[in-house]
Amino acid sequence: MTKRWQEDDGLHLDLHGLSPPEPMIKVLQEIEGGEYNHIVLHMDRDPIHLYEELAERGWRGQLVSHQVDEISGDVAVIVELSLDTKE
Amino acid sequence: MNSLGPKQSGRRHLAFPGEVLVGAHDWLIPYSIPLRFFVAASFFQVLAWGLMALGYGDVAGFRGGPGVILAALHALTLGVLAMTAMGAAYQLLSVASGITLKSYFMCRLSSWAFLPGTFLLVGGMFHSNTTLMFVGGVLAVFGLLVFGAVIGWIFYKTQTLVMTVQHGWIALASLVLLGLAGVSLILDFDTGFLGTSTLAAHAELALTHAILGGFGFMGLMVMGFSYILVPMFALSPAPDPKPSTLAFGLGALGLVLALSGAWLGATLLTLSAVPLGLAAASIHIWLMFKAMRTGMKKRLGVSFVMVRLGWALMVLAILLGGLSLMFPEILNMPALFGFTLTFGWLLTFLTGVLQRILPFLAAMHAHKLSQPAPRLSELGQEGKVLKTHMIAHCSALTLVALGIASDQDLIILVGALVGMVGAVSFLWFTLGVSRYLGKLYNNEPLPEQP
Repeated sequence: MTKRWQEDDGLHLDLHGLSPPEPMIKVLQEIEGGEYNHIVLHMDRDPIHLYEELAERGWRGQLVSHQVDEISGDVAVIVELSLDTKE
Repeated sequence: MNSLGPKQSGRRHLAFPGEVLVGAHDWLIPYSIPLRFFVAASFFQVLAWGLMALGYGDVAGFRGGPGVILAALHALTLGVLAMTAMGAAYQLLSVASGITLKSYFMCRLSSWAFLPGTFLLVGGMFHSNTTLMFVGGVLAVFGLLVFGAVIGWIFYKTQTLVMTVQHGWIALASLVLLGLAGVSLILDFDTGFLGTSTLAAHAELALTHAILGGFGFMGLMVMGFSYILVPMFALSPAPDPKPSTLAFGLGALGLVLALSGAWLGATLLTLSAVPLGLAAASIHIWLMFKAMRTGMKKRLGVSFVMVRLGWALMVLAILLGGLSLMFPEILNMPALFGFTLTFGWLLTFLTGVLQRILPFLAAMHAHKLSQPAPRLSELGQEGKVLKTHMIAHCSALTLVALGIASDQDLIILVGALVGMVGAVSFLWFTLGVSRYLGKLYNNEPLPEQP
């Protein structure tokens, strides 16, 4: 289930445990909602296919963190999305 | 040339005890691995249509045996269909599952065995040289088994992709039996050992081999991968697991019945698989159309025209399979069935999907090197190449099917030549992606984007 909360830097979405393409759909729904211009994603993989969709919608994404737990192999990724002001 | 590219660095967050910061794209395998399969598949597609054109007089009456038509068939089934499935599985599975391959040696090993093996096998079939066929067949089967071991490991490790994994296990089991049956059939050309003791006769084993290849390995692999690909391209939620499982169960049961009937030479038993296969295909197609209808992406382009046509031909292939058992002498039904199954359903579907996978491959690697995703024009085509492929491919299917059904060899020849034109267009597209990726990693200037 998606966890959703707000911090000073914008909307945060925890998308751990969702199978592709569910995370991408959740993100695009938020973007198309038009309420936020900065979103921080907490995921278990780099959403590679999302970046192209973001560009089509005038947004950009940047991977800011990617860690793997040595013991469990679990992955934690943080991606920051923002409205592309160059557009 | 560095096909891995630079690692991406970033702000460090501590999420776990004992964590290590790794490259963000460790799951993205070197592009040269999937690309070699896709380029080879595109070459073999030209070869398959070309061989059909060369042996046009033998297509309608083909019932098996070495020669140019068997070579054309295997240039397609191994050279195009299995080759594409291998490249796509290597490219997509680790990305979709999040499972990182610890080494790429096995992926490369499978290509080193499978590519020359397929070429030798096709050459051996063309020249009716059983030694060449055997060497090629063993190499190709070895390559496929290595591939099976790699994706079997991913299936075993992943906690997600349930439907793809379910289909995948049966497809891999079919692959092992397919390889055994194929090598046995080659050996039987010289030794005639089949048909003795409890072993099926050559014709029965050949039918078993065809069902294992068309419906077992490739059919289930294609259906399983559709549960990843169609929602991913249409941006829709994963299909409902209950009907998905029902479709899988019906399909798997149908496969077992068809194989048992073919092995035992029991036509009625094989026929009993037809309604099960039709039910499985209908539910599967309904789920896929639902995914496309509810998806956030409505314009799916030329590629999905091919995908939709592929689904229609899947249903037709199952129907023709049943009819070929009941009325083998009418409309050259066995050849019509084989053509619809391989050049129809599987080739149409896979070339449709490949039109999307190849730009994805380029986009993923561009992103990895902090470059914008390439436009179609940068991939060596402006849409015209793929439209040419689609028109030529559909025309070729229609002409060859008509030629087989009406026993008109010249129509088959024209159809095969038109198919070749489409295949050359597709090859141009694949080489365009290849050129783009080469420039990307060699730091050569890419076309400016506005």
